[in-house]
Parts: sequence; structure tokens; C-alpha cells
Amino acid sequence: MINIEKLSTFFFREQVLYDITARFRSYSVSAIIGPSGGGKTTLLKSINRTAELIAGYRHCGKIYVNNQDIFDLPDGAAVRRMAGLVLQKPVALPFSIKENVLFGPRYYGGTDQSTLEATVEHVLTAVGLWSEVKDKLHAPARELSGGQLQRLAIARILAVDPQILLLDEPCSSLDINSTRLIEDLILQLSKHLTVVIVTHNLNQAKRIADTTYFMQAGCMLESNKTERLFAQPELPATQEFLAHF
Amino acid sequence: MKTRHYQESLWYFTFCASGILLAGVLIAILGLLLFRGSNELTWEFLTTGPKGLFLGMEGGIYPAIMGTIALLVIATSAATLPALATAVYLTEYSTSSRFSWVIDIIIRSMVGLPSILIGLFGYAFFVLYLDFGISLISGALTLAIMVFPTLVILMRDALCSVNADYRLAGLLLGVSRWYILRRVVLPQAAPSLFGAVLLAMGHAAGATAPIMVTAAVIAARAPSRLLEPVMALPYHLYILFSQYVSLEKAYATALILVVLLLTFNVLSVALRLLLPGKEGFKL
Repeated sequence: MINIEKLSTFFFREQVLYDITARFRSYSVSAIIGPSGGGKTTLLKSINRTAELIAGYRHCGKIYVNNQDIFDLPDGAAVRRMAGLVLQKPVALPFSIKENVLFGPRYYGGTDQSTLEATVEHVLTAVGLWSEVKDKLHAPARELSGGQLQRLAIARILAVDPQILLLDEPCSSLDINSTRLIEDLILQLSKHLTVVIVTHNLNQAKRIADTTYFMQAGCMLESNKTERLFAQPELPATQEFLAHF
Repeated sequence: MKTRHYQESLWYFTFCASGILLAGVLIAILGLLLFRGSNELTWEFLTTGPKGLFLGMEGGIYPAIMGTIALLVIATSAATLPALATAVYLTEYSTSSRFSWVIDIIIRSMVGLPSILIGLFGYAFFVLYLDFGISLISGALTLAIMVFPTLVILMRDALCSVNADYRLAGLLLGVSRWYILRRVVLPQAAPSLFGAVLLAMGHAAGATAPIMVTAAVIAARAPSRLLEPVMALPYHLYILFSQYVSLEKAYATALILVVLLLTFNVLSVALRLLLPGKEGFKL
């Protein structure tokens, strides 16, 4: 469970988020929708303390993960490991496919070769990539297609055993088949992880999210069960946004 | 449409001509040195020390070649690690943009310092205060100070040229900046970093002023001890030329110096062009 209480964030003097209060349920998919520039990505980056890597970032308010305020933890890196963030544009580290997956586990002390091999197979299977790449694990990761790269990016995060998966428009640059694969993957992963996804694709939110949150101008305006939010939005701003849908 | 085409052609030829002019200047210098100095380029010239009534009128430049190489190796060895550490700090760790800005201004100001001024500092600090005397170590450390800011700037550019997304992808896994630096950034930047060291060596090889007052003498054996003075190519050239000892030998010495400088520069460019960042490099 992610529990956000009165979170406000700033970049230097500019306020980006205003008193955000929200709860993202465990083992479910929560989608955040809203117009561009509304603070969705900043919220996502605040949940795993990636935002604090950006110059000028500061915050007030609290974010609880399993009843622990993440801002009380001395090390932001531990939070980033616990809550993995998948970016809009997938990044292939300049290694082989296998070494991309093992980049995190090697840092966290994985030295036993058989355990590492098992990790590679396990996470690549989990993201549906194993059958496609098992014969070319030593090939450079940059040779993969966009959809495969995005799944590899998710596999790299799963390899460090996170509790939460944050996805920032993971399908925005993918074709329809790759998008479907990622969506199926998200639904599978939500059985074991808390998944929060930012998306501009309202159909996608409708297809995969249990709960949908509507953000605008740095404020969390409305949230509800996905079907209900799309069928009966309460606020005029949400109604207007969904009217184009 | 036609006017635009002529304009485009005019600009193309202007830029092209400036490139040709630059290459022409280099070819003219090399041509002059070859024309005036090639007669003196003998095996004896390269393998013996200076001789004659006025030292340098006869004999060769072997101790000066070895002295220059010793100065370069010690100077770049001394400057490389501190420069790399500073470049890493500025690109990977510095979170205060104001502090980085101050460091940046200091480094750029150091690049602009006249080399004789650095020589004076080297004389006051290494020769007199630390009592190293006019010696190989005094000259090398003075050259190290001279090339340090250039190395920082070149190395920082090399580190900055590594895709920033790699760093972010690593940080998102909760790994440390040091781990990302060791496994991704340094291996990717390695060819450019080595290229930077070679360029700095070229920069140091041609410097005369800093070693005039800290290391170089008219005659010495090939260097064997850190606390002994050495001969160096640029200073030997200066003496041969300014004291009218032998213009032919001055041209031949200059030719060897230019070949040394060109070798460093060509190697530096070749490293960056021919060697991509290493994939799957594991330390």
C-alpha cells in the first residue's frame, strides 16, 4: 500500500504538486491520467525519490509505503530499489542482454553463477522475453526492438526484487502489438506487485487499471474505480477531460 | 532560389578554404623544417649528446629527447589522477551548481595563465621552497600544474559525452553512483580519456617557459635521477636558435619536436575514432 499525505513538491521556487493525498492499493494496477504538465510524472518520481536527484527539488508531506515514511529513510537508493521506475523511453545499458538484467543483482552482491543464471531466466520469462532472447543472451541489448527493450527495462528492475512497479507512459513509443504485450505483463505483475502507471492512453487505463486517478495542474482532483470514473466522473474538470474520450 | 544556392556555395567554399588554409600552414611548417633540417637528421644526431665549442654545434639531441619523454611521462602521471578525480566530481557528484560554477571558472582561468607564470610558481615552490633544485621532478611537477586544467576540461567533456540515460537507468535500480561510474561511465569514456592524456602530453611537450626555470639546462646526460637537471627539446631548440649555435640543428630539433607533438595528437584522435566505448566491460 502506498499512502500519500499532503504531498507538495517544488523545483526551486516553482510549486509542481499541491497537497496531493492518495492511496494506491497493493497488488493492483493504479492508473494516473490527466493533461500534460499536470504533475503526474513528478508524483511518480516522488514515490521512489528519483525526483530528489533533480537540482532544486524539495517537498513537504509524507509518502508511506507499508506504513514507513519513505522520506524518513536515510538512503534514497534503497527506496529506488524497493519501488522500480520504468521510463517512457527504454534504456539499454551498453552491455549484453544478460548483463543488462544482472546489472542490479551484481551490485547487490550476487556472485553465485547458478543463482545469477536462474535470475536471468526467471525475470526474462516473467516479462515474456525468454523465448525470444534465450539464444542470444550475449548479444548487445541495443539490438532489441522498442517493445523488447521496454520489457528488458522491466526485467532489469524485477531482477532487484522490488515491491512496487512505477511506469511512466511505458507504451507511448510502442506499436499496438508491443503495447498489448506490456499491458498483459503489467496485469500479470500486479498479482505480486503494487503497480502505478502514468498514461495518456485512456483506453489503456480502462483496460488494465483497477483504480484511476485524475490529476490536473498539480492537484489530485478525483479518483475512483476505473469503470466508475469513466462512466460517472464527478467533477466538471474530469468530465471535460473525459469528454474527448 | 538561385541566389540561395550561390550563397550556400559561397559559405561552403569559405569554410572549406579556411580548412585548407589551416592544413596549408601545417604543411608549410613541416616542409620548411624538412627542407632546412633533414640534412642534419642522422642516426648520430638522434643517438648522441651535444658537442662542440658551443654545445650543440655538433653531436645530437639524444639527452634532450629522453629528457622530454621523462618530463612528459612524470608530468602526465602526476596530473592524470587528480584531473580525472576533479572531472568525475564535476560531472558525476557535484550537486551544487554554484560550487561547480566556481570550480569551472577557476579551471578555465588556469588554462589562460601564461606558461611563464606557471614556471615562476614552479621555481618558487618546487625549486626553492621544497628545495628540489633545477631538476627533472621540479620541471615535471610544474608541467603537471600547467596541463592539469586542460586535462580536467578534456576529461569532463569525455565523461559528459557518455549517454546520461545510462546513469539514470542505473540510479533507478538503487545502485550507487560509484558503481555506475565503474561499470558504465568510465569504460564508455575510456578512449576519450586516453585521448585527453595524449593531447595533454602534446601540450606539455611543446612548453618551454615552465621548464626553462625549473628543469632544463644546456647540457646534461640522459635523465637517470629525479633530482638532476635534464635537457629538453623545446629548451634545446630555444638555445640553438637564440644563441645562433646552429640553425640547421635547430630546424632538425624542431622537426623531431613537431613529429613528437603530431604523434600525440594523431594517436589521440585515432583512439577516439577507432575505439568505441567498451561493451560489457567488467572491473
